[in-house]
Amino acid sequence: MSVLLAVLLLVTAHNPPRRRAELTNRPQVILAGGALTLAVLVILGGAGDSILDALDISAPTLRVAVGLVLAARGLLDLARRLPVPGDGLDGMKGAIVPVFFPVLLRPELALAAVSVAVDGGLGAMTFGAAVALGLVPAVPRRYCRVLSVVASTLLVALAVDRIIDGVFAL
Amino acid sequence: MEQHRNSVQQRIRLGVITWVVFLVGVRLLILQPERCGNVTAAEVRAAAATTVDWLVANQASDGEWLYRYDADADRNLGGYNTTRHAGLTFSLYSAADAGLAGALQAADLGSVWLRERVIEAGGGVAVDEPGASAVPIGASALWVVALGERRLVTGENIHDELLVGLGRFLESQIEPSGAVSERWDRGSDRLVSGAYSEFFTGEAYFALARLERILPGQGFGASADRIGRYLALDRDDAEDRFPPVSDHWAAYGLAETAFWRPLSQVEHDYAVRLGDIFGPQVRYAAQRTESWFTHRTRGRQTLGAGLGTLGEGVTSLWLLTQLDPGSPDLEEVAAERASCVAGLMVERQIDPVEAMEFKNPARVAGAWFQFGVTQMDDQQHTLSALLRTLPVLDPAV
Repeated sequence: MSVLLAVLLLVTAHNPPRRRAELTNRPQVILAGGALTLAVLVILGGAGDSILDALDISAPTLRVAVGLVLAARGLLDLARRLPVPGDGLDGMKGAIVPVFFPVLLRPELALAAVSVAVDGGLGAMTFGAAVALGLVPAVPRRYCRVLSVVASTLLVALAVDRIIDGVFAL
Repeated sequence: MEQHRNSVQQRIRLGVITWVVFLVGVRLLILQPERCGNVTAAEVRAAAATTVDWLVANQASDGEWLYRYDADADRNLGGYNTTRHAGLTFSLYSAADAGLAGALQAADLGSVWLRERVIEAGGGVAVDEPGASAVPIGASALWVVALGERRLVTGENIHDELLVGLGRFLESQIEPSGAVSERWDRGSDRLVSGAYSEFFTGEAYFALARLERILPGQGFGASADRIGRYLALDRDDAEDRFPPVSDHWAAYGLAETAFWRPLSQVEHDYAVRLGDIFGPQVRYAAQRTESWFTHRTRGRQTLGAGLGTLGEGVTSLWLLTQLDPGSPDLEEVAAERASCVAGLMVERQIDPVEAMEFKNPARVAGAWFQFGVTQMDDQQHTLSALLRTLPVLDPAV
């Protein structure tokens, strides 16, 4: 897996415009929550091979699963409106709730991160996740809808690629 | 304030529930465990030895094996297949190579049965299919492989003339495109044009590649290469085969070719494509158990023969990586899949203790069953796959 594919997959899986729409926090708070999320993803990615061994899952099978999950996520997001902000803690505590959890640390992102780490290496995964998380506060609110549609469409295409790559692999 | 706190707690609760539902759902429906086990070379060897015992116990004095058997009813279901007979003879010569007791004698008896059916055909000799106006070529191809194995095991050249005759017959079945006719017409002494088998082409490829390895300089390599090129580039389209053939015999042929020359890029690419066909089948088969849940989400477990062919395919790709330094980077993953298949075969084999629960243990011990029935090729393909996994698990073998 190339670094470019790793970045594209994690950015579209994360869908920064949709995450931005869910958050009203200040950029510093979002970045702090993003750093926490990145730390968790790096831990998961670093343990990727061990996780697969422990669960008796091969890398190609994980690739197929990631493809199926992300395809479903992309199609669902295309069909749904942008999410609205919910309640969370005030001030810097907001970096934990809602930014880190439940908005940024999402199961489909974690699954994709593990797969990218196993296939493309921890470095590619870390870089891709950092880009994906770092983009959240940079997305202008007025473009969230259109950028979200672009990301979801690209996500579906990449998910199909993951499925094919996973199915047809020794 | 209180309301705000409750709202935040509810959001966290919902997030946790989402995670739990997601993880449980993905695990149950998509990421089911591949239950390969951690099989050892000793366990694989023991399983192969038990299979040889079955083949010795269930071989008649004329060399014919019990073909199809219902264990629950203790009933011989009859039928026979000459090609599978020849394939089983090959498996047993491989077992003899591994030093398994009784294998060489049983294989030689199997060869006696085949020798009685030899006829002149296509400028050489072929294994006849009595009663058929057009004779399938599979038995001739696999007997070449078997006798070639015998030559490699014993060092004896007593069958060389027969091997050359069988090779000439196989060459006569090759069309200009490299396609191989699956049948020889007795009346015209010619190939039946336009009739192709899913597996006989790969069997002929393997046979001719083996002849080049053991009897070089007689032109068999060029014939093998013609078939190999056809398999790699044209077969699936020309014969309208979709999905592409899961051709373990072609994988054997590629590995056999690597004994006498490095493979071309076209052949390397074909090896990768074969791996892409074997891989998902192995992973899927490994997810199937006898549980109610996996029956409904993954289907029933495959035949022993089906599992065996996957093992033969992936071990051949692994062997290719050992023989050809320029081969694709498949060694580690091919070894992983080969080990997985071996683990599944060992686990699913009826061992002598389990066999005691059946009416006729001698017809059950060492065999693989589906719905209470075993067929000769269940033992043929699994035995070969187990034996070919031994060097994967233990480089000293």
